[in-house]
Amino acid sequence: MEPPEQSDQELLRLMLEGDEAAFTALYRRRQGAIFRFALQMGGSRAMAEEVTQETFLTLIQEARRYDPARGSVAAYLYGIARNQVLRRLDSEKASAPLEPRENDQGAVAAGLAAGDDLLGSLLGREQVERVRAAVLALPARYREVVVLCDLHEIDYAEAARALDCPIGTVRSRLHRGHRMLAGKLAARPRAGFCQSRSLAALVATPQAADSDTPVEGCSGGL
Amino acid sequence: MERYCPEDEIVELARGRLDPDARQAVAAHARECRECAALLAGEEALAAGLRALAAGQQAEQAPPALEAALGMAFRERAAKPEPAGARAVGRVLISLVTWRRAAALAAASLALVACLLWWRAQPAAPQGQGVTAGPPARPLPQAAPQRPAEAPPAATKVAQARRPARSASKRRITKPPADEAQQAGSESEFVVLPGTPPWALQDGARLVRATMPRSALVSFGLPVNAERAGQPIRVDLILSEDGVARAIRFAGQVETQERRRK
Repeated sequence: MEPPEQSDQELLRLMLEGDEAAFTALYRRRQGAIFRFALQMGGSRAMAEEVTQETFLTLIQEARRYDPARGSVAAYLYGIARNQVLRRLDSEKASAPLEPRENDQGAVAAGLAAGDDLLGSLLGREQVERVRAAVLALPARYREVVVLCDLHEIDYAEAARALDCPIGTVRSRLHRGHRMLAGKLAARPRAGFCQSRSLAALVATPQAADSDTPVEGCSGGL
Repeated sequence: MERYCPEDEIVELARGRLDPDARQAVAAHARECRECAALLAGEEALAAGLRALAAGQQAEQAPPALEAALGMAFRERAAKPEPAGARAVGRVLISLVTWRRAAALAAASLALVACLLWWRAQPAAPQGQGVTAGPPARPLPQAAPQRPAEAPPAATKVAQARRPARSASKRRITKPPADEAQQAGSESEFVVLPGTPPWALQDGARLVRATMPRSALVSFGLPVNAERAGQPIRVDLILSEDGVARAIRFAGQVETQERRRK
C-alpha cells in the first residue's frame, strides 16, 4: 500500500528542515500549474520558465514567510508567480502578443490531439486559439482572475488570497472579464454580428459562425 | 411587476458552480426568460471554450532541467543559509544572471569563432599556437572574488535571457589587461567576463591557453589597439564546466616568424 500523500504544508515544513525530497515533491506537484499560469498570463514560454524558476527560488529563500492562516501553499505560490508576471509585464511595457506563437500553438494542438478531448475536438484548434488570444488580450487584472478561476478552476477564496484582494473583487472582476471575453470573441470581421450567435458558434460548427443570418429574436449582445 | 434576473447565478450555472437547488431554480428561470437564456447560452459557450483551452494546455510543464537546477539551489541554500541582509543582494544577482549568462555565451562564441578562423588562416603558425585544452598546468587563480555567500544558485542555468548585454568594463573586478601589459609581454590579472555567475568559477573550471588575434578581444568587451588588431596574442581562458569562457587574461605576445626575423 502506498503511503498517504503528504499535504503541501507538511512538505513545506519538511522542506524548511532541509529535506530536499520534500522540496522536490512539492515542486513536482505545483510546477505545472505555476508554469501554465505564467504561460497563460504572459503568452510566452520563456517568460513562463523564468517565472516558474523565480517562484520556486523565492520559495526556497523565503518559505518561512508563508503564513498558513492566509491561505494554502498553492495560493501562496500563485501569488508569488503573479507578482513575477506583473513585474515582467510592467517592465517590458508590452502587452502579451495576440497572435499565438508557433511553439505554443503546436503545444495546444498536441494537447488536444493527445488528450482525446471531446470539447477540443468539437471546438477545434481555431476556436481554442481564439479563446486563448482573447484571454491574453484582457487587461491583466481581469486576465489573472479568468486564468485562476476558469482555467485553473480554483475557488474564489483561494483566488482572493493569491491576488490579495477581497472575494467580492474576484467575483466582480471575473464577471467583468467574462463580458469582455464575450465581446472579444463576438467581434468577428463582419460588423453587426449578433454576439450570442457568434459565441454559440464556439460550440457549434465553424460555418455557423461565418453566417450573416441574424439570429431571430436576438436583441444583440450579452 | 419587474422580474428579477439572477445574472450572477447564471454565470455560476454556466461554470457548474451552483448547488443543485440553486441550479434548478436558475435553470427554470432561464427557460422562461429570453434574455437570461441568451446570457446562459453565451456563458456556456464561453465556459466550454475556456475548458477546451485549459485542456489543451494541461500538458504544459516547466522544462525538466529546471528541477535539477532548483535542487542545486536548494542544497546551496540548505548548506549555507544567507544572512538576512544578504538576501536582497542575492535576489538581484539571481535575476541578473539570466541575461549575463547569455551575454557570456555570445561573447565566448564570438571569440572562439574568431580564434578558430584566425588559427586556420595561419600557414606557418609557430608551435604552441591554438587552443590547448587539458589539465591545468597550475592551480586555478582566484579570478572571481564575488562574495560566495551571495552566489546565485545554479537554477539560473536554464533561464532564457532576452536582455541586452552590458559592457565588460562594468564587470571588471580585477585589473584589466591593459595594452601596456600586453606590450610588456607580462601576464595580466584575470578579467571576469560579463554574465559569469560565481558558481561557474568554482566547480569543474579549467584553465586553457589559447592564441588569438588581438581583434578577438573586442568580443570579450576588452579594448584593442586598432593598429595592432591583427597581431596574435596569447591568452589564458578559464572555462566553466560547460565549456563556456568565464575569465580571460593576457599571457604574453606570440613570437611570430615575422617578429623573429626582426
